[in-house]
Amino acid sequence: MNLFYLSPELSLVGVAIVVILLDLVVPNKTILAGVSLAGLSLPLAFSVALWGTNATTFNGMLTVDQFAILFKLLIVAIAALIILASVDYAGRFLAHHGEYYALILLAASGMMLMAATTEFITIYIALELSTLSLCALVCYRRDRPSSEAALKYLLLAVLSSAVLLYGMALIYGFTGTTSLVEIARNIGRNAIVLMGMVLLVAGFGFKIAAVPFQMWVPDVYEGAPTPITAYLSVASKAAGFAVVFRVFFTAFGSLDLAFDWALVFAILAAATMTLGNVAALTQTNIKRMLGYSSIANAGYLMVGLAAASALGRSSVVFFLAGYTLANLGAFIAIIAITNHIQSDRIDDFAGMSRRTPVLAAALAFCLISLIGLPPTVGFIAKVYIFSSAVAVGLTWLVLLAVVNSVISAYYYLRVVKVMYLSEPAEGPFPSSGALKVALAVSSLGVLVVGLLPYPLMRVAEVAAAGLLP
Amino acid sequence: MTVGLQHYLVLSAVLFSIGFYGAISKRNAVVILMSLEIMLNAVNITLVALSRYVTPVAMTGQVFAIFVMTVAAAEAALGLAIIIAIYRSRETVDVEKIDLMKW
Amino acid sequence: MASQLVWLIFLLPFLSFAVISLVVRPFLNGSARLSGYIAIAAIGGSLALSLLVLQEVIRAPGHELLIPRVTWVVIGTTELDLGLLVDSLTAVMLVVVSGVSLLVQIYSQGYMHGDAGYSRYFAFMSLFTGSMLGLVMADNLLQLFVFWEGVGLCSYLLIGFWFHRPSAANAAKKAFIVTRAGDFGLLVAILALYASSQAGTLNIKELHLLAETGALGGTFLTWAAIGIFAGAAGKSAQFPLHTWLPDAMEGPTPVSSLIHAATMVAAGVFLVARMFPLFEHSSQALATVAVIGAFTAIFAATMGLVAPDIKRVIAYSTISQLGYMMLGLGMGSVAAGIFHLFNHAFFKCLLFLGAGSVNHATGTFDMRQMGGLRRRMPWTFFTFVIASLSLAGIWPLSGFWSKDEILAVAFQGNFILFLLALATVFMTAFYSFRVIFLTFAGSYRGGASAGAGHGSQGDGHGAPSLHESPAVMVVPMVALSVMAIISGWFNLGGEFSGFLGEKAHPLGFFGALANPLALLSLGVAVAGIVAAYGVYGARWVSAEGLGRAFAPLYNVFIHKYWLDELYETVFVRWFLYTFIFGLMELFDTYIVDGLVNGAASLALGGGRALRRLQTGQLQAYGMAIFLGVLALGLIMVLIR
Repeated sequence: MNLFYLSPELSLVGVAIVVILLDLVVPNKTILAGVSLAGLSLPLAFSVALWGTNATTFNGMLTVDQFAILFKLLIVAIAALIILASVDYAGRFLAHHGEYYALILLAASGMMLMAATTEFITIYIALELSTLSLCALVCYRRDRPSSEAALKYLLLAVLSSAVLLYGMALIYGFTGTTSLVEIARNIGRNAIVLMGMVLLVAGFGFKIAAVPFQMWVPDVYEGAPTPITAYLSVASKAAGFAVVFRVFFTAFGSLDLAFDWALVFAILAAATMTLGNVAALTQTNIKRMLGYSSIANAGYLMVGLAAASALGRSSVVFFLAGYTLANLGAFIAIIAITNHIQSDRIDDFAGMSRRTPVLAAALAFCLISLIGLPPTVGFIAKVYIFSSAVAVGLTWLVLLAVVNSVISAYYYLRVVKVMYLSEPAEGPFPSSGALKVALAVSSLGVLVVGLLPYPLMRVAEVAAAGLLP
Repeated sequence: MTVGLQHYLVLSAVLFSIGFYGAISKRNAVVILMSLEIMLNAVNITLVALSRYVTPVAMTGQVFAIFVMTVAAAEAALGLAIIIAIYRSRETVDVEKIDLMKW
Repeated sequence: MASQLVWLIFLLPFLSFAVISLVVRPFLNGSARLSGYIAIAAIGGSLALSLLVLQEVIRAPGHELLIPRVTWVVIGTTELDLGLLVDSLTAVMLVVVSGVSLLVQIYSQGYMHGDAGYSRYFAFMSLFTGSMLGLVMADNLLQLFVFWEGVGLCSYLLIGFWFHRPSAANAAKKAFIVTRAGDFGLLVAILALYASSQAGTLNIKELHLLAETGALGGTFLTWAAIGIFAGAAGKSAQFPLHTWLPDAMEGPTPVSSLIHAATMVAAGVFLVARMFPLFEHSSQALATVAVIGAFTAIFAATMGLVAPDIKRVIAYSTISQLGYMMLGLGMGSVAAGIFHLFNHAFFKCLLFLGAGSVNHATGTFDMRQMGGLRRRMPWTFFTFVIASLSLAGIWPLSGFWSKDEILAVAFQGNFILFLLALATVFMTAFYSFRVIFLTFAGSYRGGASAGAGHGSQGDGHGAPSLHESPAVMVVPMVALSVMAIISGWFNLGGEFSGFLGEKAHPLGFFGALANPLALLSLGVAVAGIVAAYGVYGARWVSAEGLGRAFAPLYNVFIHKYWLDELYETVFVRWFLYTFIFGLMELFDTYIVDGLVNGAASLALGGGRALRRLQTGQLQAYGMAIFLGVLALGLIMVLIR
């Protein structure tokens, strides 16, 4: 047992406790955001220090490899941006700031663990740690939409984790172990294993918002506080995919089984992206629209999963990073705008190009990345993921994905059109510095990675390569 | 008749199904929460039984069951807190009426 | 020199753009002057690095630096790289672009002083400089094209800098659309080169090799080269795509100076020079370049003879001189064309800065409202005369040397084109000194009568009080005038030509005065100056009288051959409105409404239906999970 391997998560939990305690004594609550941000440098430093290690510890429960560390870095970065984006919002709409930031950090530690665990019990614990923290955050406004969203999120999350647990129990019963590596050794292809796999897909499908386990997404996205919606849409999804990768490639990586789950994911991908994009077409609430968009993106990600190859793995990791940048950028711009106009309706974004040109331009740019047009990271990510699927012969799926991308342009560009061509209702307004920093970081990331994608591709490749059983 | 692994597994499958049915048919949020607890406990029975019959030495399943119970307690606490918050703002816990957000 | 430093040459201005637009504008807008300093520091760094690169290239064997390529994307087995091609041509362009850009940005501090868009201006200028430097360093056509569009975008943004002025917004739009026409040809050529079995690569060195070995040849090569030239003609404002450049003078004058005189418009000439082996192996392509170049040279000069607006005269002069460079290239001499580009950058930039300085004082660009500025603005006058002498091609200023070389190659190549070029020399000298006599000689005609009617023509500089411009503007002008004198001497012994890989026929500093061809062109230029003096200085003949005597010609010139009207009628009204829009309407009614609308309404209807699935009912969501599990189980069963 080497606690150093667990240091990113441990330090993060420590920071969360410090923030809660500080809340008792500090009168100025913005300090808490600063402390949380500064505290994130600890897991960041530890993760960077661990880069290059390849070790398994705690009797095979925890693996520290580049795959895990890349996701840890990604989640630390997301948490930092979410905290930056929350300062203004929390000041306006929320009470109990200490617990708010602490819960963000705790959820982050749960999601970091998800990427590193290689054993069913710890996977379950990590999953629940993140889900319960997020659920409390969803409820944080405590008004009608927020509490309704939290109730739906919690009950469905517990329901699907029960399904997940049942699947885990079946696999455990057949193989006699909960460790992923040992499962891979003992596994065979029979009814029990296949049924266990189905239940696992259903359980994880909830987390990554795959059809038909995605029903919670639009409602919860709409009801949750907007920074938490952003958090759910990127961090929760990234962690979900990380754990899916671990389980399916490590435990069920044998060619025999991979054929089964790859086909299942291909079908789910087709259904997910089509439903997400088509249902997004007629949305009028921007948070809800981005909820459907997040479902659609889960569909694209599953295209890479369905490829079930090394190329597919690295493309999904790259796509997740790119999607994170673009989606966070869009959400941060939306937070900055809705903080002022207090409405999530797309029609109320009319004339934003004149009311707040920088925010409107950044939002438009991030939406263009979500469509997948150059020169943004979204373009490279889509090319990457689609070519991984073409390489294994999933041409039909890629064609469908391309058609879907075209459909998606309609609802993304509708927002751009409203912002740029409709008459503004009122005059210009300023926005807070923290939001500007967060927005600059994410939209610059979209542009820079879009122009020079290779370094990140290389990192994704290295991370995904380490995932072999 | 000796009670074997199969009996436990069937029992837990039946319990799981009852819980699932309850979760998707009951309208009272508290009852749904109870149904979910039944599902989790059904899984616990499976885990403990498998532990006893498949890996009697390692006891992995029993440890797993304890963790599930712990987490279930946290879930119940959070769930009740949310239900109270909802009851305060709407004076109902009927999930059919909690549909502010749809489409 | 580390290769990372070479990358920095064009990354520094981009960095400056990022810092200005992301840090200075949002957070430090109170101290806008900072943007100017950041931009100047960045471009100063680029200039220093460019000079180092020039030194290295001079020393390097084969005059080429090998810079390690950088992987752009790798997907499976497909690998795309980014690379820099740093040879003598690149090195010359780097020094010209970064040097001129530095001086113009220093000058801009004075010129743009107090403008509301001060930070935005320097952000765009940095973006432009970065793109332009990236363009000249690109080692493959795709990369080049990206930067090519980048400078086009910056040009659009900067012409329309005062976007609240309708004429500026229209000029920006016109520039964007007209150059797009040329870029279309370039894009088609690039795609054809990539897709064809003959080439199949976009790497410039590989394309050179293919053309030289004959693997790339025949009609395909000719059309590819002409496609490339179409792009070059759009950017370098060659006939018939020249109409945007005079209108582009709506932008701030330093912009005209940097982008529309010294650098971006020269990108077309650079592109032809860069792809020269492709042109060299197709006599038709080369002939096209030469003919278009020579024709543009004299064609634009005629319009420059009569234009009343000082900036427009210089703009026509730019078009004409770009035609000269194209003529040099078309006659087969890269060195002659690029040498003229090199010299032209300095003296033409200086002319624009002088015009800006005049506008700074008078608030107008209309020469009819000027006169007598010689005594009020001695420095501006002095530098303007040097630049004009250089432009006219007077020994021993820089313009003389490069112009003479182009005349020499034209003389050996084609006698008719030579005569056109020689006639242009006369006109150039004439209109250059027409500007000087109208602006600086005589007595001031502006003042009260210059009123509000013409105030709108200026760059927003209000009350005209005649004074010399501040030192921050004068110093760059003086620096440029030094270059306008001496830059021609770099080829006295054929060093410049040799550097670009061509055998030169050096005349020597005084030897030029013994060369009959050089004497001829000098004589023609002097005749032009004397004629201008006769009409506008001494008034032996009145300009109005001349205009009446040659009324038909005068009308043709002043109306710019009615090309704007022709394009308006043919392209906009007939082609666009009637044909394209008509076609689109038909398409819309019969195909879109039938097919696409069908698909669109299907999708939207599907959207409405799928929305309804999301009932907001918790139990329904739980049911979906249950059904989902069942469906997945069914799929598993059906797989085998």
